[in-house]
Amino acid sequence: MKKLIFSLFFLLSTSSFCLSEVNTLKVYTYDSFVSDWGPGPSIEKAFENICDCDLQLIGAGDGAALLAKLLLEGELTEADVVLGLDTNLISRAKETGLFAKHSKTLDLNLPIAWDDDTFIPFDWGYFAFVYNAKNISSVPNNFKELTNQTNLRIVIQDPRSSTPGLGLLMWIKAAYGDESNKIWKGLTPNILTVTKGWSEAYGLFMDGEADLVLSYTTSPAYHIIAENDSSKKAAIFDEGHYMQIEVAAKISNTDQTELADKFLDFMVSEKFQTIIPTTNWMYPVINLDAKLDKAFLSPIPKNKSLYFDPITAQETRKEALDEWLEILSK
Amino acid sequence: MVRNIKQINFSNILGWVSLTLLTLVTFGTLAVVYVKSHNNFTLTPADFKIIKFTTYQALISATMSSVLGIFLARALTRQSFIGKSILIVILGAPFILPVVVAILGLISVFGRNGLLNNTLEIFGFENISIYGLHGIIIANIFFNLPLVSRLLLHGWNSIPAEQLRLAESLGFNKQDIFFLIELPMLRTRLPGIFAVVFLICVSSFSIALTLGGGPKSTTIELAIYQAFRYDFDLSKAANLAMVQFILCFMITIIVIWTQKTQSFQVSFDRVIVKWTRSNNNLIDWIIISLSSIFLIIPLLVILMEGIFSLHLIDASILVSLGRSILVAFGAVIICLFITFSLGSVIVTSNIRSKVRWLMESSAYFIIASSPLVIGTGFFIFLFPIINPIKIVFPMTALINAIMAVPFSLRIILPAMQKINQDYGKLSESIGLRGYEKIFNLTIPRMKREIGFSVGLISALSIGDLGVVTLFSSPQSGTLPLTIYRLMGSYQMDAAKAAAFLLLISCFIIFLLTDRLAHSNVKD
Repeated sequence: MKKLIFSLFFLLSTSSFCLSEVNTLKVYTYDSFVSDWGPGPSIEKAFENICDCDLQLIGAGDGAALLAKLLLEGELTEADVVLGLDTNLISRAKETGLFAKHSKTLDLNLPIAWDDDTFIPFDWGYFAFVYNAKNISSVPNNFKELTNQTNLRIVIQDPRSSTPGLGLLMWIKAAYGDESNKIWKGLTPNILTVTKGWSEAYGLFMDGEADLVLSYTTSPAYHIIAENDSSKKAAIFDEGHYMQIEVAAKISNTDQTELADKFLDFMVSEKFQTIIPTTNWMYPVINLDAKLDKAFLSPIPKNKSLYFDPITAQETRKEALDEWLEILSK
Repeated sequence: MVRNIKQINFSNILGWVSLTLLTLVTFGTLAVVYVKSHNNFTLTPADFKIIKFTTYQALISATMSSVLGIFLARALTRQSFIGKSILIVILGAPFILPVVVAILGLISVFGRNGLLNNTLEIFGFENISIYGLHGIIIANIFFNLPLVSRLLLHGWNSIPAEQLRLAESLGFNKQDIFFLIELPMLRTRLPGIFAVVFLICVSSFSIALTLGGGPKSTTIELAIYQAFRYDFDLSKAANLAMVQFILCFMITIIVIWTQKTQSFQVSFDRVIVKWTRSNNNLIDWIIISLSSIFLIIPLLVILMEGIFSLHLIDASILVSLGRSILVAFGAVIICLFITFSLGSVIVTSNIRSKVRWLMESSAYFIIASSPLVIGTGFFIFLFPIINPIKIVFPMTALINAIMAVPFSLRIILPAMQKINQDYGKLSESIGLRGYEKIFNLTIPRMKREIGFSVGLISALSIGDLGVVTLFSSPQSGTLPLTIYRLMGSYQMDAAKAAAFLLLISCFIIFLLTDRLAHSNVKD
């Protein structure tokens, strides 16, 4: 009897029932990527059409928690590819030694030149607060106005578990430098709650729990295209907006090297990139020209684009995080 | 004679094995944590705020649960009505209710679009928020008000009817009865109850995990989880685990010190009629109705909303239910093994009292240890040898089993003691000892207690959302974890359907084991 129990335990804990001979590629990503309305289903179908494999997209929390998850699993991780970190986490991710360098020549269309040897971008956008125009009469034009309107309730994400949450730390640092603590002190009364991930925060906003949610300048496109609803808008701040470039990389000790490379190639191909804008609601990393829906307003001008390179971001992260924890725990 | 000595040794050995296992899991993991944090024990200002918040929310929750519990227990003592015994049974339900299910129910009632806020809105009141301090306190009261009420109800019923008759013949008025009879009872019972509730609130992890809103409402247990899952900072996790242990240890000493005379009640459904009807009917009824609404509505909402979402239950939810059941099964076996091994040593008459004390108190001191501290210790210890993720389910079963030992020992030990008193000398004279005695004499005579234990252990284990959150991979969660994930990705309907499944499984297993045990007992 005991033997039976333990073998059942074993079966379930490994939970890799190999029923067929097909190779399996496991990609760890963030939750909203694999949701029914996210890019996951179409991408899985499109890749499986060309790879003769089983692509498993596995949601492992939000972007930043992905990295901690990999550290926790270490060399034993089941993942072959990790998709969904961003430039703010690249340095930290490389320190783990878990990621393999890529040897690809990339032809990308990004606002910055891309020269990272490990991570490959798959989409990008600007962080912004999204609001419902039906509910808000005076839209804040910058952080200071937002902090002055104490009646506005905002939902943000935890910078330790979520890439938009971390992005907001960087955004405020990039815009205000050492004055960032003043902005955070001013924002604290507005914060309804801090969620672990983007999905939860956006869900709360859609349920009407909050007036503004930390998301992207491209989020309103979703409501226009998918719901024919033009009431959701991104508040454009005159300090500028922080840019997020989302990236993916291969795990160095994967046993699916070829398949992983194939997936990364597919990721920057036109097929994958045309799926991204209307499912992940971010800008593609290659030039799609007319294939990009008009609801995607042209990106904000370059002089309003804020960005830290991975090394600066890593140096800023610790200090900004401590400051955030200190102020928000009051 | 030689054979007898062997038998004693065998039963003793198992007792010591269990004791070692307990010590290793609780204090061994703590030692690992201590070594890890010793090199670099620093607490940041944010950590101090976490400690402050943890004690603050526990203090408020325990105070409010106690005050409300006094009123509810008093009202229930004074009034008798149809369905009172059912209500008292329901008061016992939150003890085995999976926290994550209750949370979903509470969100449905107290959330922004919940029943309460929609009602408040109609009348033009401000909304209340379920996230953060308020939500944590509401959830804590939801779980602890029933506990306080049941324990105090027992207190009220322990007041001998003679005292009341005497009071009546002496012409006591209500104030006299309160100050001379009820207050002394409360004075002896309430401190212990308060301390237990405080301890429960200090170490409530799942509530803070699901309702905590960022750094402002983070408990120590949640911070341990965050150190793991957000930063993978093992020394930070170890530092916080030390703090959590010291805090819980101190409270546990207070609990044990204040609780010397009390026993864990297996069941309570006596309807007592000795209290004269009071004139405060209205207040009593308001308290009874409000408490019933508060405790029952969230569960009804989950049942109703869950039923309508049942089509959202997919294979992954069912597989995670299977995992939960297996973990619970493992937990039951380990827990019963430990309980009987310790119990059979404790009840043996020819054992030194120090050994007995050691076995008993080490079992009860488990309530001071937190699953997350144990998990942290396990991880730090095992990580260089084998990745704990590979053995997450056996490990969860072991930790769940050990956390349930104090309860199962309290249920099983009194019965073992009684059997030993009744049949001890007889079995001694015919040479029935050790495990032979346990299987042939003890077990058949305490099916009721075993059934209750099995039900309790499996229900606690099946609904547990503790250590498994630290280690499990995205595709290998238990059912409570799957519900938590669904909530995190805002698939509330699927989460409610899964919660319905968990709730039903939990109660079916509890009732089934309890019933089976009863059906075999010939009264």
